[in-house]
Amino acid sequence: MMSYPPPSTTPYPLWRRALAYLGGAFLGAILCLAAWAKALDPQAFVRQVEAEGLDFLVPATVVALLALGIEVLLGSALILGLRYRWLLWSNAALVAFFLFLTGRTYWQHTQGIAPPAEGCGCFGNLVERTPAEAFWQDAALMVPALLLAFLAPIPWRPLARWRWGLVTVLTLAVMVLAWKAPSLPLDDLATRLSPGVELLDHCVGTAEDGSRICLGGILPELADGEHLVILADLGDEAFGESVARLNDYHWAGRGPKLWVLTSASEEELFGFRFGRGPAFEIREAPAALIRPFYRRLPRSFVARHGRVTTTYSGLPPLDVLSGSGSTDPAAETNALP
Amino acid sequence: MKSQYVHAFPRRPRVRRRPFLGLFLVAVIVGVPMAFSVMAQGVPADEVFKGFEPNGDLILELDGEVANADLYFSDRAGAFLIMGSMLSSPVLVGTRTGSVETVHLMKVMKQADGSVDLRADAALESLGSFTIEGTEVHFDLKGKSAVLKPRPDLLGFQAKDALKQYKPTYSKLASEYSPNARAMAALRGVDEDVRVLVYFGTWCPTCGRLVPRMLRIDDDLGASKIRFEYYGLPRDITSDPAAEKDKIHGVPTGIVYVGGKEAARFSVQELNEPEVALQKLLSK
Repeated sequence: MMSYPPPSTTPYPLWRRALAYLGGAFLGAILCLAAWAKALDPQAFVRQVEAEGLDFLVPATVVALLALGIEVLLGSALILGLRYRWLLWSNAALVAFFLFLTGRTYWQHTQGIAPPAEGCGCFGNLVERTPAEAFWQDAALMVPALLLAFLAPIPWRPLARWRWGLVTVLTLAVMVLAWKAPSLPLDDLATRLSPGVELLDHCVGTAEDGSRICLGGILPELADGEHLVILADLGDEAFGESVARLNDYHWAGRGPKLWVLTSASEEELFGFRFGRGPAFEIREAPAALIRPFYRRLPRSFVARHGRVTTTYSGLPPLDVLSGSGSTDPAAETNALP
Repeated sequence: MKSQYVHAFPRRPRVRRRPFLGLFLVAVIVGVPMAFSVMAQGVPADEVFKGFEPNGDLILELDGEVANADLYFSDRAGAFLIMGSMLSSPVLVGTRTGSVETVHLMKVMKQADGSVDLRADAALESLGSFTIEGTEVHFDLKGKSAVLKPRPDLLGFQAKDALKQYKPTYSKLASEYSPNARAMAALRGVDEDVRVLVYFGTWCPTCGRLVPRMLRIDDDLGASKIRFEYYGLPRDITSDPAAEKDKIHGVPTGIVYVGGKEAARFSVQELNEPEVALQKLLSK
């Protein structure tokens, strides 16, 4: 039978252990929140992994899933007070890796290598930050917390088995969530577009260098009246096939005015105009501006006086909006009461 | 008694006078075209193929040479109408059908506002279909290789009139824009030298929407102390030395200089109502 050494009494005073726990728990909470945000929109995280060039050994999907697992594992262990030295050093390595990524983006931004609105940190779509903010906020939040956690590392204790069990369950749960999330109706939760949201002041870029772009500048018409906006990928075949129905809605002139917002390239836009013949107005927006509004395209919403009233996963129920049909049972709708 | 002199010459065949024949011929020569014209005027515009507006976004190349052609586009028809002396008849390029067709010139009606309609009785003759290659539309035009492609960009400093000539939509949108009267009155009274340097791209759709607003304000301010300058950038913005010097990240961007010093940068949100943004800045 295997015997464990008796639990050693910690040599640290209470205040030091308390500070270490608080620091570790804070860092753990940051990691878990970041993992949660990414798990809700795993496709965006996969694209981020690809953009960062982290898929050089295994596919980006695998990298993303593993990264989420590691983040939850290390974060939840800290929350549960497991401050083993090897765990603290693993957390330190993770924090250093995040700072390397955000720091690299920040440096690219200052050198004019990367577009100003790209690479805004590791918090998925729930928080909007510039590269500089991403780096300094990450550093300011995580480094002190990590240092505090190092104030009172604890020795290995077999009694922590139940905590390890909880850590394992949490880690697996987040990984399963990330795997299933694309097919779950979580758009309002996972994105910054949900009923009640004010749209016009949603911006990217910085005012100091004149790169700040707001939705109110791209689509100022939203400020007055009721509008139906579809966020679309113009290269999507299925969306292309819906143009005839959208044209009919546009010409009918009933219901909210139709707009399509896209971050399509010039070639895509040209091909769409010539290949599909849209009669409705298409506005271009920077990808960074509209990316926080969706997990997959198309996604649509109705806004009244600049405020979102209803969101739809996919295309909107045009018959209902034009007042000439019944609700499409397939349409997933979220509306203000 | 009949004169012998008269009978000394062979008798001319008797011609029966038909006084109405001449009138009939005149009526046919003059009247038929008039009648056709009147009939034609009575034919209404086609319900779909109407409202073609001048379009300056594209040019036509025939066998590799830029053709002197006028291009129109109709949202309703979802089609381009191309007319020019090098074309035996106007050509329709349908974006919803993917087809290329010709229509008889007599079936095209130019309206006073510069737009063009097709008559309801216009018959379209198919010339086949087009293909899209990148940002070009290729089709065969009776043995000639035809390409519709974006107009070459305007680069560097541009005069206001050059901009208006470049794209008919710039003039149209400028005339349609209604500047804020109060802001304009305040701007006319500005007594400092103000220079607004507008970086734009003729390839940029947002510029196509907002630059005309500045053109309108420029026109309306006339001989005020506020001077507008327009600088066209290529798609790779940072490749332009002026853009690099002024650290331009996107277009349109307006840099406002007051008394020779940079006072502000206007981006998309300010340029939606440039006169209001300018008035707010100058009243600080």
